[in-house]
Amino acid sequence: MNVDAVRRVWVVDDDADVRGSLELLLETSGFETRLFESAEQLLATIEPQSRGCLLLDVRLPGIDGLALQAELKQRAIDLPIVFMSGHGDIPMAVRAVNAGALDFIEKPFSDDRLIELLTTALNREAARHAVSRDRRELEHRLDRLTPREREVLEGLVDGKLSKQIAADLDISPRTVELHRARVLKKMEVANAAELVRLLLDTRS
Amino acid sequence: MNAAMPPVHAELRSRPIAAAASAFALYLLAALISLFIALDKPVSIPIWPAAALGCGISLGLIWRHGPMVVPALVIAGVLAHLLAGIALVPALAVGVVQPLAGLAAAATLRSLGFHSAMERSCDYLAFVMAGPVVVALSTSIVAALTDPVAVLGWPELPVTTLRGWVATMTGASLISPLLLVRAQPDSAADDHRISLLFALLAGVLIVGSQMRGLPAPFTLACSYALFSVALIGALYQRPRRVAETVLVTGVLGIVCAGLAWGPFAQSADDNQRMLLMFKLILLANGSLAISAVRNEARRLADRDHARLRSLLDADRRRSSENAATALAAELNQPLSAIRSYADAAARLMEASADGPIQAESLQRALRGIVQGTERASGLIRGQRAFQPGEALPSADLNAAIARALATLDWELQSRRIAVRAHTDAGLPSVIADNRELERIVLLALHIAIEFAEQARRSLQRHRLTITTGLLHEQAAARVTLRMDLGGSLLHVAGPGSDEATAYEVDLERMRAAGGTFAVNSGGRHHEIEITLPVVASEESS
Repeated sequence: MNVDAVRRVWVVDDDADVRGSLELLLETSGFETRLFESAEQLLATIEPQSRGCLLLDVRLPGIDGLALQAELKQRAIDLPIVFMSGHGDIPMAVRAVNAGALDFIEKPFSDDRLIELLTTALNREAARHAVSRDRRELEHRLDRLTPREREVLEGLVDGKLSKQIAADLDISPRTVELHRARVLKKMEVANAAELVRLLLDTRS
Repeated sequence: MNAAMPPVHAELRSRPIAAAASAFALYLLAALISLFIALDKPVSIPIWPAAALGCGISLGLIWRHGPMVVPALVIAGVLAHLLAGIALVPALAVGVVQPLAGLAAAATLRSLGFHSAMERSCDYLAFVMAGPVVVALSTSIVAALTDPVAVLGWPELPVTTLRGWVATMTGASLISPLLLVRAQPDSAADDHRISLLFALLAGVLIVGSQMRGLPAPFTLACSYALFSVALIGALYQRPRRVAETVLVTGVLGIVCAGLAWGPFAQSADDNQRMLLMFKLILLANGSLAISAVRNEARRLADRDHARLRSLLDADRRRSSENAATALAAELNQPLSAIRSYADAAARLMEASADGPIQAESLQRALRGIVQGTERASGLIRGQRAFQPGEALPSADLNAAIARALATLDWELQSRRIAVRAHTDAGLPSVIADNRELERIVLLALHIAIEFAEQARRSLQRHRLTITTGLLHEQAAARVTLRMDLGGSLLHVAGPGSDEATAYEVDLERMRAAGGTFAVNSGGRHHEIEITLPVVASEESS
């Protein structure tokens, strides 16, 4: 699986000093930052195709961090979230993590801990993105198959011989061989074993 | 009309009718029974069970349902007397006067602020004492209406009054179960339970002895003993002191009886002796009762004082906690920024070992650290000065004093502290939070009350004078609480010293605003001084 990591961090904090310091720290550490003062500003910018991870302050004016998390989920924006708070609010941290956040850190935090968390979040996002991309690619290849070729593909995946597939589909073995060659070509694989492995990997 | 009437209205309308009907039935039954007892077994004073039961029940019913049941009671009373074979005039007199006596008793209790939950001893005392007066009057009026010549001549009038007192004791005893029924489950009336049972026993004993034809002195002695136990025990509200009360009242009863039948009244007849004995008993019991009520008032005042203090302390603690939490949250932001800038600076320095130093970024990190530090120190400075970057709060000192005095009005009255306030109507606003200022004034008044309590040696009244005014330079307003302790302040001095003591109460926030709070004691007088900066305004300049 090809992991294509994007080191982009979407930071939302209403405090300008905190935003400025995080920008410098993260850029110094090799991250790309997007800074926002409020949840509303972030929601106006971010899209389902956006990459990276989110670093959110829990207490925000207007929509707070937990509500923003729910809103992102509703908009199908599935980026890993790291929450930060200066209030040491344990119940809130539990709620955030239960709702799917990666972790919760208390201000002031050490740079090592923050960078470690963000790296983990970005790696996770990259892996998730890679799987998603492979699945889209496979679906694209499957879309190119004709209905008959799909039936032959199903027979191959089930481990049937050409004669058995021909008998099932009530066509000649020679025709099955022709369809089989086209399927392998369209799915961009060398043989039937590679085809089966590709389908199983992507489904898993 | 009736068909169109909503069910709720019909129900509301039927309630008074049901109450009047039940009152009529109960009163008729009670009057018939008591008249049967009184007329069938006449001993020495045949009127009292009937009169007591009638007055007691009418009082209870009027208290429960209001004056609307009076006509029903009158009709029931007259009917009962006519059925018992009594002539029309006495029947009318008793039938009309007894419910009216109950009405007057209920009105008296209401005007005295009587609480039927019987949470206070004074309620019990009022219940027992308001009834006797009215019953005594009613029996006297009835006697005067039926036989004026006999009643107006000595010794009939005092004897009739005596009958009234005894009758009321019986009545109060007999209707004591009503109190048990009406008492709230969690109220202090539970404390009276034993006493009320004693009172009930006294009533039963009186009626029983009347029916059995026992001698009057025996009946009176027993009922007196039981009723005294009930009364005094209830006043002290301590069941474990019942034995002590029995002893005290028993000794008092014996002494009174000894005086009445002793050498001082040798020429008197039995009625006069009995009258004298009851006068002495009432005097003794009255003294005990007054003493008990005074003690209870003091106890309640102490309890309220302690409760108020704990509330003030809790409020102060909560304010401190809220302030600390808010400050921590505010400080956390610049601290967090400083930490991140410092980490970034350290990373830049590490990176400079392998390549050129990124001077601009490093400079930005250092500037951020300086800015964060300034922001944090600004928050701390603001907290110290109690001026977190907002307008200074202003408050009306005179209004705060008025509110504090209203809060403590009952306590000051119960402790016999007379307050005189000389407030300067032209006093400008002062720098203080309104609630904080009220708390400070309350604290000052509490200190004054404590000093008054320590200095109190007798029933003397203390005088507290509160004065507000501007200091000469018009930069500060001053309130002075001056207490005249009548030269009895020796016990108020500091620990191990008889000298006058002066100390300051630590009120940091007020001091930060430029105010002072000082308590100065010495000699006859005791002073608390509060000074607060005046808010600069056109009126004050």
